[in-house]
Amino acid sequence: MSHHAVTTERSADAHRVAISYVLNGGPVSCEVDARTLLVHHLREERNLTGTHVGCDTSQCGACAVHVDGRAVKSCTVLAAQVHGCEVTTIEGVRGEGPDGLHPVQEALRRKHGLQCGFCTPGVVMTALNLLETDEPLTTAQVQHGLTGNICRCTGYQNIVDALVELSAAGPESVDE
Amino acid sequence: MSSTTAPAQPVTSRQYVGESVPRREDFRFLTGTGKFTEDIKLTGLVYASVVRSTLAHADIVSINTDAARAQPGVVAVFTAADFGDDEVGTIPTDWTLPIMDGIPARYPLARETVKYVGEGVAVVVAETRAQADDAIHFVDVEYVERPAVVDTEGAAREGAPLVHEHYERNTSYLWHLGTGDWEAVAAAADHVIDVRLVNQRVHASSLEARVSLADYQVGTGTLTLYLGTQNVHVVRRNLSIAIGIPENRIRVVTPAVGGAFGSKLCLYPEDVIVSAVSRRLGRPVRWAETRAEHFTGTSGGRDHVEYVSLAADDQGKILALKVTTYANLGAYVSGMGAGIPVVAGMVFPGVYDIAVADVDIHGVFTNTSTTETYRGAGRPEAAYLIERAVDELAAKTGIDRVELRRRNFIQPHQFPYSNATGMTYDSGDYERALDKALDMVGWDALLAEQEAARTQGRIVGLGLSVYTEFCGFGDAFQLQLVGFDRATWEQSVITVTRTGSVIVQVGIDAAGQGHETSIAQIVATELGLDIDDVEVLQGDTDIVHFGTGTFNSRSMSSAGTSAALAARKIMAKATRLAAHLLDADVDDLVYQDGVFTVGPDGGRQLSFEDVAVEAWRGVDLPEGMEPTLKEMAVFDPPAFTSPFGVHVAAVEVDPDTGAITIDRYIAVDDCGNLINPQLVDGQIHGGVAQGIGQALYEGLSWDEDGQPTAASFMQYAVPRAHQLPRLETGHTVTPSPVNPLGVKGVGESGAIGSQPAVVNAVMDAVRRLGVDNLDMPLTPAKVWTALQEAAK
Repeated sequence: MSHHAVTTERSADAHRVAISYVLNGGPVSCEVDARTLLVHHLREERNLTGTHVGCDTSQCGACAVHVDGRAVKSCTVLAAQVHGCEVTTIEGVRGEGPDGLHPVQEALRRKHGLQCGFCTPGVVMTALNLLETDEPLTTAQVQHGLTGNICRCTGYQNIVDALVELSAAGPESVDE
Repeated sequence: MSSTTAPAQPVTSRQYVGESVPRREDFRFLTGTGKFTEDIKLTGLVYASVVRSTLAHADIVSINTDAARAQPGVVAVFTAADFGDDEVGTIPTDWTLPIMDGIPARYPLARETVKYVGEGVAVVVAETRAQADDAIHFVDVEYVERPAVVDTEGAAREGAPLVHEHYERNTSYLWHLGTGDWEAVAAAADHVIDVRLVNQRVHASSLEARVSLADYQVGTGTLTLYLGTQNVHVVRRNLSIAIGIPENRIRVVTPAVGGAFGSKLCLYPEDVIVSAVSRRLGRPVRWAETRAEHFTGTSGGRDHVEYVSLAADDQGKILALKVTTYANLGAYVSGMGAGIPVVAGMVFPGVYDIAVADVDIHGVFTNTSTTETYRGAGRPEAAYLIERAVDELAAKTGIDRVELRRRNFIQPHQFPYSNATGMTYDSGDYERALDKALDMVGWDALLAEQEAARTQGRIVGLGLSVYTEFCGFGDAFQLQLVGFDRATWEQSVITVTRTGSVIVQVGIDAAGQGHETSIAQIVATELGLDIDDVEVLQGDTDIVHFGTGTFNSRSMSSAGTSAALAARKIMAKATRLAAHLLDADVDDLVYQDGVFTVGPDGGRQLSFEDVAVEAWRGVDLPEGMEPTLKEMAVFDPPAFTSPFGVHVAAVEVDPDTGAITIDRYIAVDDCGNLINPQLVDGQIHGGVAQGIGQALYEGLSWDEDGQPTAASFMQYAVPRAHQLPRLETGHTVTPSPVNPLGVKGVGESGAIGSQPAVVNAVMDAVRRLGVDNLDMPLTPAKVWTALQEAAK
C-alpha cells in the first residue's frame, strides 16, 4: 500500500490529500485529511458503518477490511494510503445464498458464531482471507488465524467450527 | 405432538420452545447493517470529548478553558461550574444498603475534587470528533494532589487517607449475614481450614465501548438519548432525576448493543453530560468512548479480598463457614455496585448444607474507578470462594474432593432450601449434574492418566466446581428490605394487527442474547402461529413504556414469562370471539396451526387472522367484549430461580514457562427448561470464556499512586481464539418451580462455574509440588515464580 501514498497528490490545503480508489466495486475520488484513518473515512465520510472501531490500538480486528484483497485493520491505515487500491468492506461482501449471504456468513449463522454482532464484520473479512487455501484448515490454524480478532461473546468455538467446516467442504464452497 | 386439545392451551405442530431456532438478529450483523449507537448520524451533530483527571486524588484549583475554546471547530467547552444545580445534578444509584450513611455525591463532571484517574472534569464540543479530541489537550487544569488509596484492605484500616472527607472512614458499610455461633462450632470441630483469596478486578470489556447520543428538541422540550444500555427505563428515570426533565419528556432508545455483560446497566456521567450539553446547544451531541476511557471509566467487576474458613467434623461434614470480605466499591457508588458484595455473601455456602455461617462484608471506597455488575455479579465471587475452600478442606482432611462434596450437598428433597446466609434456592439436583459431568470427562480414567503423566515429570491437574447461583431478581419485598431501588417485575404487551400479525413489546434490552428470537419462540408457541408472524420490540421507552431491563439472567424467567402470560390472555379472548363467530361453545373448539375448528372432525373453521379482523372491526363481538386483540401481562417473580451446574477442567502447566494449557473442559449446567438450546450453549460458551479469562489472563490494577496499569487490550488480556479450550457442554433439566416456563436463566452460569474449576485444577497440579495458594489471574510469570519458590 505504501507505494501508492508516494503518488498521492497534495491538494492546496497541505493537510488535505486527494485520493482515488475503488470501494466495493465502485470508483471513489475525494479529498481526505492527511491524518484521517481509513476506518474513520469509511464510517464518517462514506457512511459505511458496518466497519467498527473496537479498540484504538489495532488489537481487536472489528475494523478489518480488504485492501487489494488482503484483510487489514483499517484503524492502522491512513485513508490516503488506499489511493489506487481496491477496498472491500463488509457492505461489499455478497453471496448467492438465500438471503444474498456469502457462504462464510451463512456458516457463521448456522453455527451461531455471533451474538452481539459487533466483531462479526471484522471476523467475516478475516475469515475470507483465511479460507483462501486449497488445503482444509485445522482447528488450530483457524484459531491462530483469528488471533487478531477479539470476540467477547462467543468464546470463539462456534466461529472456529463454522470456518473449519466450511474449509473442509473445499475451496469451491467458499468462493462466490 | 397430538392433534387436539382445549383451546386455552393450543397444541400445534409449530412448537418452537425447546428448538434451536436460528436467530433472526443475525442477518443484519453478518451484513454490517446492524445499527449501533455510533452508527446513528443526526443533522447538526456535534461531538463531545471529555477532559479527564490524570491524578487519583486531587483538589481542583482552577480550570482554564480559554485556549481550548479558540481551537478550530470548537463549539463550546463546559466544566461543572458552567451548569446550575437544576441543569446537572448528582447521578442516582439503584442500590443503597440501609446501613449506609447515604452515598457520596457524584457529579457527572467533578466539582472541587477528583477521586480517580479518568474522572471527567470538562467537556469539549466540536464540529468533528478529531477537533474535539485535539482541543481537550488545551484545557488547563491545575490540581493540588492529595494522598490516594487504592488497596482495598489498606483503605479499610484506621488512618488510611480518606476518599471522602465527610465520612470518617473509607468503609461505607459493614454488612453481616449468617446464623449460628461460628466460634463455638469451630472450637469443637475436627478440622478448620483458612484461606485468603483475592478475586481481582476484571472488566467486562464489551467490544463496543460506551456511546451516548443526546438529541434535545428545543421546540418541544423533549430529549432523546440513544445509548447502548441494558435498561432503558432505569436510564430514563435516573436521567430525569439528574437533569430535571420529567420522565414523560425523555425517550431513551437502545439500538444494537455490542456486548454489555453488566457494564452497561447504570446511568453513567457521560450520559448526563451529553444530555445537558444538547439541551444547552440545541444540537445533537455524541460522545464515543475510547478503549482507554473504557478501561479507566466504565465500571469493572469483582475486586474482593476474602478470608474464608471452614469447620468440619472428622467425616468431612462442613459444620460452619466464616467469611470476611473487603469489597472495593471504587471512588463512588455506581448503580447496583453497593449491593453486589452482599449478593455474593448470600450464596457463599454454595451447594452445601452448612448450618452455621458468619459473614462480614466491608464495602470500601478507594481512589479507583467504580465497581458494578459484571457477568455473575457476586455469584462468581461466591462460587470461587466456597469451591476453593472445599478443595482446601479435601487437601487437609485427605477425603476425596468428589466424595467430600457429595457428603455435603443439599439434597433434592430439601428444596426450597434456605441457606445460612438468607437465600432460598428454588430447586436443584447436584448429584445428577455431578455424575453427568464426571461421566462426560471420564474422571477416574483421567485421574489415572494424570498420575502416569506425573511419573514422567509433567505437571498436570484436574479440578471441578459445583455451583449454584440465583437469577430472575425477585421477590420485590425481600429486595426492598436490603435497599434495592428498582422493581422486579417484567411486562409484555401483545398486539395482534388487523392482518393477524403479532407485535410483542417487552421491557428488556438485548445485547446479543437473541431475545428477538427466543421471545418470539415463546409467543409463537403460545399462539400457535408461525414464528415469522411475531415481531419482538424492545429497547425504546416510547415503544415499551415500562420495563425492568436485562440483568441477573432474568430475561427468559421474567420477560419470557410475561410474554407467555400476555399471549395466553390473547388466546383466551381470541377463543371466546371465535366461539361467538362460529356460533359454538368455547369447549367445542379445537385450535391448531392458527385455525379454530368446531369439533375434532373438521367442522366450521376460522383462522386466527379471521378472528383478528373481527376483533379489529368490532362489529360482531360477544356481549361486553371490547374491540382489538391487545393484552398486557406483568410477571413479578415470587422468588429467585437457582441455576446450578458442575464444571470440570483438566490442565497442564509448562514447568519451564509456567504457562497453563486447559486440555479438557466440561460444563454441565442446569438452567431449567431450555427455550433455545443453541442460544443456551452460546451463553455458556461466552460465560466460560470470560471466566477462563479471569482465571488465567485478565486483571485491572492500579499502582500505589492510583495510576491504572491497563488501559488497552495490549495490557488487559481478554482471551483470543487460540487461548481457550474446546468446551464440552451438557445439561440436566430441573425445571424452576417459580415461573410457569420452568426456566432458570443461563446468561451468567458459565462465568460462575469456570473460575473455580480452572484454578482448582491448577492447584491440584501444583499443590503437590508445594505451592499453597495462587491468586488469579494465573499468568505464566506468577505460576513459574510460585513453582520456583516452592522448589527452594
